[in-house]
Amino acid sequence: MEKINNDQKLIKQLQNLKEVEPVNDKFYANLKTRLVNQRKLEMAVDDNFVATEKSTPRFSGFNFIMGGLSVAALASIIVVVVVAFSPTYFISNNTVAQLEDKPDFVKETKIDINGNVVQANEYELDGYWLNVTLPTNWEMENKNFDKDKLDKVVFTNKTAGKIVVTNNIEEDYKFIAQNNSLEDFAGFNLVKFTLTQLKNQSSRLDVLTNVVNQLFENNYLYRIPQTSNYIIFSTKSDFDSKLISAIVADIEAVDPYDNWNVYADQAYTGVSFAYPGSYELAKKDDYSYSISKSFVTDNYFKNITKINVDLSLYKSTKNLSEQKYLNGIAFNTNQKVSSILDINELNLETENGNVNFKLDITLKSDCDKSCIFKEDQEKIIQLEKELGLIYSSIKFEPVKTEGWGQVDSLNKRFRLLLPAGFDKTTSNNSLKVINLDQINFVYKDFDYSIYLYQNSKLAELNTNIVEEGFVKFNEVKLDSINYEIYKSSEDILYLTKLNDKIVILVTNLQNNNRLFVESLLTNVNIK
Amino acid sequence: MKMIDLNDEKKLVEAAKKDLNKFGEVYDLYVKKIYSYVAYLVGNSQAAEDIVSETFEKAMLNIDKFEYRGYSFGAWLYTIARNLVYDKSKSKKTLSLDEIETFIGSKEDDPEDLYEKKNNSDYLKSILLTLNDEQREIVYLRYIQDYSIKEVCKMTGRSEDSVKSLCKRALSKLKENYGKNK
Repeated sequence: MEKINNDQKLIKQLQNLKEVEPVNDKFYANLKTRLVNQRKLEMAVDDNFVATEKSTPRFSGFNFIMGGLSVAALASIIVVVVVAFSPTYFISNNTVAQLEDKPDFVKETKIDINGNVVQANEYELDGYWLNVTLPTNWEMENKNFDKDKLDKVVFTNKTAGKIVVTNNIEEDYKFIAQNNSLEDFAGFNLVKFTLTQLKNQSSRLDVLTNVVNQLFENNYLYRIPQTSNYIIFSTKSDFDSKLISAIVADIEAVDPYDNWNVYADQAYTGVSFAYPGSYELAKKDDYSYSISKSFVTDNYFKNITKINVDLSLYKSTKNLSEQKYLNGIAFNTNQKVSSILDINELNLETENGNVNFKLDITLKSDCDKSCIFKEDQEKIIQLEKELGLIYSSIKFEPVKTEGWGQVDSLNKRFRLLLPAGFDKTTSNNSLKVINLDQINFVYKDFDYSIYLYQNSKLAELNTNIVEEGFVKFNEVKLDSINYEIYKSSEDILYLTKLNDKIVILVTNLQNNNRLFVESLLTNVNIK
Repeated sequence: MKMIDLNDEKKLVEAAKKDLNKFGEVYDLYVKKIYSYVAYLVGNSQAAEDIVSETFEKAMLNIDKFEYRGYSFGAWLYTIARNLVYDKSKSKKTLSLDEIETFIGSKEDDPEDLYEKKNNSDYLKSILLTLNDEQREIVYLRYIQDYSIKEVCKMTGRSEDSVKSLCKRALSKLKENYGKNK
């Protein structure tokens, strides 16, 4: 058996494998008979009993699968496919194929292709947050493109090929595979060369070089900044890099957060996120927020009266397993958001270590959960994109120290910077020096103890930790200071080494606020 | 594997929704594929038969709840089957060589090139055993059954990134092992 080095040859062999047959030759027939008999039995029962089932008008728990590269991906994926380029793109103005009755999202403009200025059309594809400029001999097939419906957009050029803008990456991936001979690697070097060339000319797009040529073979994958939308250029070996470069250079990503509000609590939590300007924000507690909108009066949705998004933001210390199983559905918690609202499975629960994201939709009383997909489906697609943007916008920034007070204690052996709200004179907040090695303080309802040890005690300390059942569960790096974090059943013990001293912060797990604790540690200074 | 035309499937599913007596046609369309998939996952003939039976019973009972929204009925069936596999056994069972030989008994009926075809096919199946459970499942769905990445995502509950990454790693491993020790 010879070695095989070509993915496509291997895939062809896999595709030729036969299905596994049951040992029992009559299994298929027997099962079918049983199902038919079961159906007959049910029909007999139905004839005697008429049951009515009314669905609850309200359902909650639309949650989203989180995880992945760095940002969520609820939003639709955009694919721009450029196929079968030929060197015939140089267009004279006399041979321009003009669009008749241009839609309002098409504007006349010019495009520079390697020094040749040619007439072009700029397509504002708002639904995709994308503007594409193409020479006018590229014709838009579906001129009735509706941004709310996110129709597929197809541009064709009789001699050069096709450009497809779609939110169905899979469909177009098949299109690519069928039209591009993936076994044709003759142009591979050319593709790699052009990748560099494109990268230099497309600073407005994020180039995902690690993905290029892995999954899409001789296609190029870009991401539109701040979104999880992607652009894929699919080429043949004889494609013209100048045309691709010109098109890429003229692609303009539209700000998806236009008219959105930004919530930022940089002073305390360091958390920020964006939400649509038409929604109302309510802070439930330090790390929980509610973003909601009622649709009772504007009739945007036919069947939805209110949408509420609950965000719970925190830095989890949990080591989440790769997969979770809820309601029988397995999903990967460490990947990006990749799932959309699903009519068949409504109750996914998820968190990615930093964020728990829940959607609660209130329906009209005469609507069961399926009706929104029948009558509001197109708007639901937009809603999914909005939610994906909210999730994508969540950021955890280091807590700023401005406005923090200072407490000198322990004979000035170390200095602790505390949040501005800390006041040792009030009843709620207190500071107490226990001994030269320990200082206790209470901030709001969080109870902390800080210990300071000389370096010589480290070995003894570690020994005690092990003996007392503390389990090392994480290690983080903050501002070049190494924190080893230990966890017991009741407390979280943070260790850090500063100069030759060991600082330990013990917190009550019930009230643990990891961001806050980490911020405290970054503000401990040995004097 | 021959792909099932989505339009054909839709017609059959809609017909079955209106008249469950026509569910048999949907059954005929998918039962072999579902059995093959489950067999690869559980590695046991009796368990596979039980799970496939339950899969179609559930599907028949709940077909009214299924709606086309980016995924085929087939993808829905795979999801049901997969969940049942997980329900029955918390951890997927890894196929042993004996079991895989039981399942992948050659049913070649083409006398021409039988030897070469059989050898090649069986050899490839044996190479599939070098993959871990996750990779084998993904290869089976994506390449042997030829489902789209989006459908595989739906069936396995994985993200697109995860499925693509598993595909890539699985193909690399298959290529690496193909031709070794032959």
